[in-house]
Amino acid sequence: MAMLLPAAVRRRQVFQRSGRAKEHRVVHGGFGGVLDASHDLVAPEEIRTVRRQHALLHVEVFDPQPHGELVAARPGPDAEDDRGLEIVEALCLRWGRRPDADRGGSVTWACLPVPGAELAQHDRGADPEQSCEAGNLPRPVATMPVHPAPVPFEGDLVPPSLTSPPTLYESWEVLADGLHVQRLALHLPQLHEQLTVQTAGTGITVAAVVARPAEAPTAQTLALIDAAGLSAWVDLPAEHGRSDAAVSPLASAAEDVHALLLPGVTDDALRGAVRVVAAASAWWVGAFAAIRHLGVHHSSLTPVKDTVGSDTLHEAVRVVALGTAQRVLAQQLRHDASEEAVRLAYCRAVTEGIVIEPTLPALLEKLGELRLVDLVTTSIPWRGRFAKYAGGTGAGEVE
Amino acid sequence: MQNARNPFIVVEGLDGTGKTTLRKGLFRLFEGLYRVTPLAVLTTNFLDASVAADLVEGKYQPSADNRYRYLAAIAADKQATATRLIAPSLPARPVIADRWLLSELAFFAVKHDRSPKETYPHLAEHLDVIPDLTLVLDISPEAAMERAAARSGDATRPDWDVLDIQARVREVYQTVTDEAAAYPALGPVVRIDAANDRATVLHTAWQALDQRGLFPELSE
Repeated sequence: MAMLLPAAVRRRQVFQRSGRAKEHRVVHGGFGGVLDASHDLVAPEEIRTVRRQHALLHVEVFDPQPHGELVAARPGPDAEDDRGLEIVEALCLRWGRRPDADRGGSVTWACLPVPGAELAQHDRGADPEQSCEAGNLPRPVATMPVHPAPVPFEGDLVPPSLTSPPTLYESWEVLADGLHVQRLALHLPQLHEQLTVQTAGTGITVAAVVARPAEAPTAQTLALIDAAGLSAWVDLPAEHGRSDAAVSPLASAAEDVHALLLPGVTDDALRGAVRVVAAASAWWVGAFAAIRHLGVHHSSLTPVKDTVGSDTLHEAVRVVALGTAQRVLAQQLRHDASEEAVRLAYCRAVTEGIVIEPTLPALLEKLGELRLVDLVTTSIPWRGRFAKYAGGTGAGEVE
Repeated sequence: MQNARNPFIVVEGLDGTGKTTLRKGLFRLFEGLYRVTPLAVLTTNFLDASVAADLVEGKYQPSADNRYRYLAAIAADKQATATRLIAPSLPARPVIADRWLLSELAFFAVKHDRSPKETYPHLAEHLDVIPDLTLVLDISPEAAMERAAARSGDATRPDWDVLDIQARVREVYQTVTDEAAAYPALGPVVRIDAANDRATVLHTAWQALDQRGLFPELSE
């Protein structure tokens, strides 16, 4: 039984081996049906989404019954029903429920590691988190209620984009994320062409600044990064980073941010997630620095002719890493705000951002080029963060 | 920590204690984590144009001749701020004021030798909006002045930004906050040790607000 959910889902053959998230809609049995194949699938439920990301599987099941309070079941010893969520709880890293506004029913989702899967994208050897078997899975964040009286229970984590409507700033953040991805995708050929040259003015080779980040994400780390909306942020460096280069010379700035924010924080998944997104930040700055000479000045939109120094790139990494780390901390706090060490870490990120804010205009002028400037300006909260979106710009930029 | 409406929060303290940093920090906490964007206001917002000249003269050229006009102008401006900005905003968003009543009480005590208890009724009489929490950043005047001097861009006033004046201002803060019950329009008052680092100050303020249920429910 313990392996039934991943095995059953694997049989559907709906995964993609790509590291990029892919969504599929397959009409089939619900969690109960998937979990216990011996049952007749009389409930008109369906698996509506199966999404694989590295060693992580995200499954959603639709139930047409109106979304209401979930009451803990207390099945008898021989009962064949009412154990679905207990099994989900046992197998999955995180799960939750939400109403389906479009169809009027309810969606239950779960996020679990794929047994036996390896972090192929990262290719960094065995990861103990990936040898998951029943009984030694990473500890679930929430536990099933055991109260004798029915109690409301809604799981432990609902992806933010699927619950309360996003704020305008959150939507702009999503647009900015997409803008950076678009620019990378557009310029991957040029990035690869640059791999044997020096980054103009820095004395650092391009291959070095786009070295693949060294940190190996665990399944729990990836789940937190995914919930923070930063999967692409870490996937693309893992996919396009150079494996033949040593550690990026910009990585130390990212590590400084990790060290600054997390004293006293003991949650390994959170520490890992902050380290991974910070390291990815160094990669993004390095990648855009490598193609900087092909870009335009952020205000004049004329081709850049000057160079950028290594210190400036370190400054940029510090800002961007601070912003992405803050997003991870915010996600963690929205899930569980009780840990004072995490709250203090978030306060460090906020106040460090306030301290940095007056230095940003000078940094942007030194960076000069539009892609690097946008990367920095959209990464942390400051007065100029989403100025272009506030002015009515959708997502497009001159490319 | 569910609250029925958004809070009105006041940040007070000497120049250099970190009021701006705390205000921005709370702003970003509300916006970035709790998904509600606060409105930040100042202690004087010039919303009653008829008293604008009195506000300027009374602040920068305080004298026995203009002190009552200044006091009346401050009261009028605060009423206008409360009526036009704070009260209408609270159903939708928190409001954070950078200084409010406490600073005015200190100004009249130091510059016009009027006790806070004399000044208070003039300011509070027609003020319907009471802060849910007044956070007072406390630090020695020496340390505050040292910090303020390290900042660039701040205008300094020789009749105000000097040690003996700032020491007296701090004494007024302490006197008033020690008997906050006599000044109900300040709302609950919490003093925070501003000698701590910025993150710890923000964290302490966060805890103080949280303990009073002044944050909305966190949602994922």
